[in-house]
Amino acid sequence: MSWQSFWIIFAITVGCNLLCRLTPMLALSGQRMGEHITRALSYIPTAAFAALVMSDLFNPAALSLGLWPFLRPAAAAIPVLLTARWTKSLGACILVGVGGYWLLTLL
Amino acid sequence: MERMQDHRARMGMAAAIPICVGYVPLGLACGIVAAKAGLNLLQVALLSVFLYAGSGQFMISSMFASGASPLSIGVSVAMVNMRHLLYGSALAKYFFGERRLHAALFAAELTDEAFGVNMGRFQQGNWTPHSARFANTTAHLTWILSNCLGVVVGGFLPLDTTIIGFSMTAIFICLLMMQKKTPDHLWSMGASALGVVTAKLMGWGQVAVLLGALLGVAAGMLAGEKRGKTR
Repeated sequence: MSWQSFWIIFAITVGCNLLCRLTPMLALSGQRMGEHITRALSYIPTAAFAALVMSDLFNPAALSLGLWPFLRPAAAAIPVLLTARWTKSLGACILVGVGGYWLLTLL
Repeated sequence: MERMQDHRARMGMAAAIPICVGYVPLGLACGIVAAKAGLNLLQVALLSVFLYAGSGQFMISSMFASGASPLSIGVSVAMVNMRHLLYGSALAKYFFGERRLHAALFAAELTDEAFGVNMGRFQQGNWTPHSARFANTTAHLTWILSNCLGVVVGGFLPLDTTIIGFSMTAIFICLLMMQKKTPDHLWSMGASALGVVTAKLMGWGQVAVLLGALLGVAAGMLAGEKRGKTR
């Protein structure tokens, strides 16, 4: 990649990324927030994790490869859900998730 | 006092281990893909230090390899990373009274996984901004080293990014299961998931997570207000 192209990509992505990462923290960390804002913010973890999980499990582009490649992430998520429910351990979930996904690719 | 700080730093580094387990193979793969796309070691290092966004870095490589213009690559990656607006907002309350520089340093290293692990720990209690900064920096250093190593070793390592990438999904599932399960939160979860599916079906995959999460927050608020009125 030429340095000219690189610097254009670098400036836009890093600039926007820092703005998105720093602005809310700097704007909100120094002050007490109203009840309404606090309540809205309390839903962010649940909503964000649900969105991230669904984004990883639902990939319409995989349908072009067949039904099984499309369903495989959801199938691999089931043992992870059970592990998370029982153990609440990130390490155990990673092991079960990656191991399960690998096994499912062999089918 | 100093011992306490050391203990908190160690706690932070230990908390980052599950993230690092996923970041080493993913970072290696990201470096390999970048090198194949034509980025050199210094360019990859600069991106991993200052951009530090896995999905964004993978996008840069794949879009550049497919001939996209630098401007369209920059704008697309910037759109994908807009979800970070939500993470800082949710974590800001734990940094009340902290020095702004410390809060900024923490926020600058906030990824999906770092947000998840830190939010989980803050919610459980016994977690400090100091530990959180160490967790973030440990994960960030792991990412930088893995990226650079990926460029150097090139295609010598047989890595399947789909299988390795599922370790991050497993982290998100575990953290989702740790969240509150009140009716409002279940509404929030459902709306968020539905929002992502709808956005992807509409062809707005790049902003699906942000749109889904915003819809989830709105649904949680509405359900909470409705429940308050009927109580």
